[in-house]
Amino acid sequence: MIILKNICKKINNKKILDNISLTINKGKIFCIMGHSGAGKTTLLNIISLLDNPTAGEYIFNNQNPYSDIVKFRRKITMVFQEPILFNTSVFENVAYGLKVRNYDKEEIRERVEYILEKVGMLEYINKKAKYLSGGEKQRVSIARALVIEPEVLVLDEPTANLDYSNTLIIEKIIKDFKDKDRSIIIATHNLFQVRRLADEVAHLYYGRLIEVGKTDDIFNNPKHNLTKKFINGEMFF
Amino acid sequence: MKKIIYCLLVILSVILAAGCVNQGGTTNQPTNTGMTEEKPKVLTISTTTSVYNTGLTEALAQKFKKDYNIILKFIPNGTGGAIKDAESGASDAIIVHAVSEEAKFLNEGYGVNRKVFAYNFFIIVGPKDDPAHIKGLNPIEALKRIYKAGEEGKAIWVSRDDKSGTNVKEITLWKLAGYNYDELKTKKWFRTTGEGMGDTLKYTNEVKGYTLSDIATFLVYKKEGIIPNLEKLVDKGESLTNVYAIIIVNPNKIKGKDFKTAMFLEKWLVSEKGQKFLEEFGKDKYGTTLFYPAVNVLEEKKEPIYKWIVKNGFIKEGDYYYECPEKFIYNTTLKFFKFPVSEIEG
Amino acid sequence: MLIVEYIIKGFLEALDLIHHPYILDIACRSLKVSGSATILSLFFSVPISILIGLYEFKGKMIIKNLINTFAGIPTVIWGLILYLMYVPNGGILGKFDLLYNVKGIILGQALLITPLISSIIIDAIEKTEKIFRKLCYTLGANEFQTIKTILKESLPWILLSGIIGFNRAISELGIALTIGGNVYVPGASDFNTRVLTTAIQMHTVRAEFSTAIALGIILLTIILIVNFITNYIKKSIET
Repeated sequence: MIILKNICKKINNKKILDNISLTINKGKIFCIMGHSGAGKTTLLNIISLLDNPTAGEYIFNNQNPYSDIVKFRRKITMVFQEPILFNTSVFENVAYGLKVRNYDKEEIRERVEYILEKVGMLEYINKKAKYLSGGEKQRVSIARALVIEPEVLVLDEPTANLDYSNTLIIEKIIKDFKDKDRSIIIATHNLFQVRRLADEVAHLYYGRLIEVGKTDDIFNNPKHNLTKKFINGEMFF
Repeated sequence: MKKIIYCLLVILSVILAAGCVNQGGTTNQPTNTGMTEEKPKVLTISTTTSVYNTGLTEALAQKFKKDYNIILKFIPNGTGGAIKDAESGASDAIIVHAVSEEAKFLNEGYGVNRKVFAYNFFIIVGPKDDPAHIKGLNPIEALKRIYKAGEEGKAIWVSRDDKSGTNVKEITLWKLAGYNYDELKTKKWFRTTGEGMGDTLKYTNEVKGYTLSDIATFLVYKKEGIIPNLEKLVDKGESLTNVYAIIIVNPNKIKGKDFKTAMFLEKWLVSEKGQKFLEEFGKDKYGTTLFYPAVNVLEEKKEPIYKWIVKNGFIKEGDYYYECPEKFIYNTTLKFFKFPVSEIEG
Repeated sequence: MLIVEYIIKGFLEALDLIHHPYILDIACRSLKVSGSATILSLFFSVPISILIGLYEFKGKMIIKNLINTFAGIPTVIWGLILYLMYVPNGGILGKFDLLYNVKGIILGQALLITPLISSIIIDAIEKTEKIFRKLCYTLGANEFQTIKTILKESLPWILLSGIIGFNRAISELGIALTIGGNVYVPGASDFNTRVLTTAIQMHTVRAEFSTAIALGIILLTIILIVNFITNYIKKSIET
């Protein structure tokens, strides 16, 4: 369980995140929605321990994650919006997280093959990663995170650059990964995706948390005017 | 793709490793051959480019390697550069042809045992039709004629204007003819290149002009057909005499130099063998001797050449012209020439 | 004879001359000298560049600017500086017998290409670091594993920097001429310092154009192959 208390982030004196307090439970898909530039990526980076907040408190399973950052990072894995792959084969890419955790060779092969099968990329296992298409790259980068079986999976706009069929494939992969012992956190500006995937939703607006709640509640009965506008698609920038 | 990168890596490392291994290999060679052959002695000799560019240095190096197992490393540096090399301890001896610079070098204590071993002549070259009619004249008269023809718009003179030995000689010649070099440079018919001899000859050929050249560069370019318009017009005369000397670095001033081997080279150059070698050099390639042996001419006082050599290549001190003033003779049995001023100038 | 005819004649003669032992000897020396200079340069530029590339510190910008400035020093000036360093009388490296010696050319060329190689490696490391550090962290790598991955991803660039450095070294004239002195004694390969560029210059001055052209063809071929490899690596890096 992740608890954020009054998290603030300033970059060059500009407030990116302003007093965010959130609780993210296990077994749920938690969506952070908001327009681009709302601070979603920064928030995800902080949750993933890749960025430090300027103020506030972060509690992970009742512990302070900054006490042993490498250990806690190994429980949280983030998939970036742009799929960055190592300049190696698909296998080497997916195996990376297992190798740094010193899994033995056979187990690595087994798990990589299993996960590639699940994302439909097994036939590409020995292919050089850079020759893959955009959708294939995104699937590999998600597989690379899933194979670690992290307690918290963080996805930043996982389907932003993909066509509809690839989007559905990836959404299915995410849903299949849902488990009672895991949290899945997705940042997206795609409202349909939020409805299809999320159990809980938070609305981020210029670094401030406007509203948090169950997906059905937010979509059927938004309390805040800005949220209402956002889900009705009336927000233009 | 990975394979290709590895392939390239392997190729590169093979190329580079080959370099290292071979380097190691060649440095081992002397020890291997050391059983039958002694470790060679090495001399570094800085020379003027005009000697170097004839290939004489390489012919000498080849001979010394073969006959005496001595490695002669000739460094082409120009007269000034050669003297700098010697002063900074980089060379064992210098071979140059500028007596005033040489005297300065001796006086500063850096050199000993200066020995004149060869001479040749600068030449005045010009177009075949010779509009200034200088063919066969003495050089001073020739320059006067060129000046006149130039003023009449009939001739062009090309000057290197690069402070080289040849250029210095040219300035002296103009002075002897009664003209100031700096004033000449303002004339329309007086062109300056600022380039080496080869490029200056090419330019002279292009504009069908006259110029002063060393004999070797002219012959090489002539033989290769690069300067078809030019011909040798004036090739003898006291003032065109070009004298080559070797000076050994003073072992008391600069430590760690191989005085003994350097003296061996000097003795060889003025020996019968060495003088013969100089006379033969270039004959097969250019059809003429490039460096005339000087020792016999001086010994037998062959008129008028020996006087020309002495005037242009000896150091005048008091009543004598010295090949090497006595205070700069060090630890040698070699004989050095000296002639009374009255005999030479009288 | 026309100049064009001359060049054609020289070119045809050059083709015959190319397998002449003299020409091959010089070509091999060039490869050895510049190859050794490249390895020597990589030896000190790789670790330094990695440290500069990976870590942020005060004065980093100044060092990077300095490196770029050094990369632009003309080889004739390097030749002069090295000459003054190498001369036995008063040079700070005068004791080591570097002047008119291949060792001196190797060290000189290594110094010449070090700024070039370093700036390429530093840029590459900074770029890969920016891309991959967060990724490695989130996949669970510790600091050591992260740096290992960054270096692995930069490896083709390091290779590339070496090749570009080699290309610069083998085609430079100023250092080889001033420091090497273009020494050539047949059969005394330990003492010879004649390399492709100095030989081309000398034979051109001596109007031995066929030999100069033959040497030129070899030099251009080497540069061509090197450029081909460079482009190949560049292509393989780009995604």
